[in-house]
Amino acid sequence: MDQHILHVKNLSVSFNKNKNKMTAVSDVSLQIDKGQTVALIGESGSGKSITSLSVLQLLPPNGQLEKGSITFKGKDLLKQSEKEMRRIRGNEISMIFQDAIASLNPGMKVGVQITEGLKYHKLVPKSDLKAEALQLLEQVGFKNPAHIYEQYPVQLSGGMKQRILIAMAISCKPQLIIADEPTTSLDVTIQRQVLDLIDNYKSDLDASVLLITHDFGVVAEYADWVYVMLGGHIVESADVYTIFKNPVHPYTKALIESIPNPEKSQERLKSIQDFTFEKVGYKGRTFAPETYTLESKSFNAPSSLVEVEPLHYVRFYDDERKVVSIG
Amino acid sequence: MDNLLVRAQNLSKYFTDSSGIHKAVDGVSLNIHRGETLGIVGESGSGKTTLGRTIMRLYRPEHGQIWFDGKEITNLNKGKLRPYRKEIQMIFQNPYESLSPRFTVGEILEEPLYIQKIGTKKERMDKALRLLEKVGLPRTSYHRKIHEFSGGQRQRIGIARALILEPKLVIADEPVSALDVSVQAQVLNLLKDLQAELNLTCLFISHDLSVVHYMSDRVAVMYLGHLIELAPKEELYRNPIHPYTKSLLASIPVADPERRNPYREPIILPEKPLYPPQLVNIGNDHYVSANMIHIKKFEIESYQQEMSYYK
Repeated sequence: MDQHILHVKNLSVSFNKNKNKMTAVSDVSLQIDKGQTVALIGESGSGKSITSLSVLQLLPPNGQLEKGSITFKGKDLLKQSEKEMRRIRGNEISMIFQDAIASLNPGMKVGVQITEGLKYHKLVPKSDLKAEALQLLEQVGFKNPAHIYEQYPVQLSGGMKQRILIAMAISCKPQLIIADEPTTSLDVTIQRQVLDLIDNYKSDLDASVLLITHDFGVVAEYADWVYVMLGGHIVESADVYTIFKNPVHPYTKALIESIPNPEKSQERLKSIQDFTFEKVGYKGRTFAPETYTLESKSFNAPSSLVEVEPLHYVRFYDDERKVVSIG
Repeated sequence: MDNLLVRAQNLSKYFTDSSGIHKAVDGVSLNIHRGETLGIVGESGSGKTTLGRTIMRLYRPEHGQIWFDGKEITNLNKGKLRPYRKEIQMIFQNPYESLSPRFTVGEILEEPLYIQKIGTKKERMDKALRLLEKVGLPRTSYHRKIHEFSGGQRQRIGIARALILEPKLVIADEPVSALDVSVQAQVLNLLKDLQAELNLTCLFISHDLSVVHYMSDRVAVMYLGHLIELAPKEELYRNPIHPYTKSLLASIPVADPERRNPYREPIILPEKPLYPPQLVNIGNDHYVSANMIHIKKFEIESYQQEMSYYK
């Protein structure tokens, strides 16, 4: 019996571009339990968004699922029909996209947009839609829902739009929310409000969250379990306490140390400047780097994930394995 | 020699649209010393970018005066401003939009020199190549176009363009907010190195408090167009007084899950006062808007009262 609410197993996704096949995500496995916030962290182009889009099967037309399985509450999502997927999207799994401006329809009042999902899934009778929308607006922290209901997206600020997106995402009470960089480009105070909203919803309904981000500060505050992605691979995974206390993979270490911290007086930030990919590829078969250099050491292609301590997995590169076996 | 590079007195910039006057910057006074980095933080719409642009005289201020290097530049016209354009340069927020995709990197870097009529063709090229090296890009980038570079590399080009005229003041307007956290670190380090090497004065605008703390010597907090608090960075982070500054500091995510705190301070957003606040020095070069002093005093008094009850 699979107790995970979402279980992605050995997922590989590739794209066809100019007759070249390029692997964006290779051999990614991840699990989300009920009531858990799982963070997927990595820089742009590491494949974190593609992973989440494949869960909802919203890949762009030239994207292909090569292999793997995605199980949601015991159902294999890859075997569901399009009709069945539509029932799942928004209703059981919903997504908060990064770009609030692009995700809202500019010609529709935000109050009406919020209830689109409810209308589609026929969860609420038509006559109650407006009341439901007002309640949702209040839930995401608007003090005057009746006024906001009548607004168009252009009349709202970035943080307000992001909150509208959250209202939309939680309208059908899904068990899993995928938040794709929900606070990039927002101010710190608003970032905190938005993340708190998602967190409160999670704990109220015992739902789960897949939080996609590139900011380790956000991860430290909200996540329970962390997956670090690099070049289409998961390179390290552990619970949030372990990963901050004992990061093993050089990339994870560099990411954690690159955050400026006002409480420590740092002379210099550690940067991933020396972290250059030798072979990234539109030319080669895969998008993932086959060799890369870090601090002028060269590493070979990744092996499989290894459990270094209980429930702490790292994907080693040849030289690193020695370092860890000593420690 | 005068230690002040920039002195802004009671600076205001208003924008008008159909809904009325919007006071983007209202009654801001500040000084920038030679060789220091002054950080400006505030939420979006608090007027920090407008302030930067007004100091650079891209906007003409409604009220107030600006002195640059001992001379007043408040009311100079376009032609008279031209020599000052050389002295004040800007690094823009989004390197994807602020660099022309049709120019080669060489052309982008040489354009300011060309406009200011500095050097011969050969000299300009030499200078561009030298700056490319300085910001850590290969000399071969000279003939390439912008689309071949990543975000971090583009921002390096943006920095090189700002420095090619050897300015006295660099205004960096959110230079890293469009970049990934991992790339952010290298750009910040580069800026800091160059600043030390060239003895630059810098106005660093950002909404990210931890970045501002890393870069600046003094930090100014803007809120709804007003300057509400200004202090050396250690002092400000240790002893914030204005409720908005406190909320800002409390909102920084702490990169340590062990210290996760479920009972965080609530975010307080005070209403905008009708008039720009007067800044008062409360010691340690810490300036704070005067109406907050009363609150502080009140807090101290009520605390003392409470203490006396226990006695």
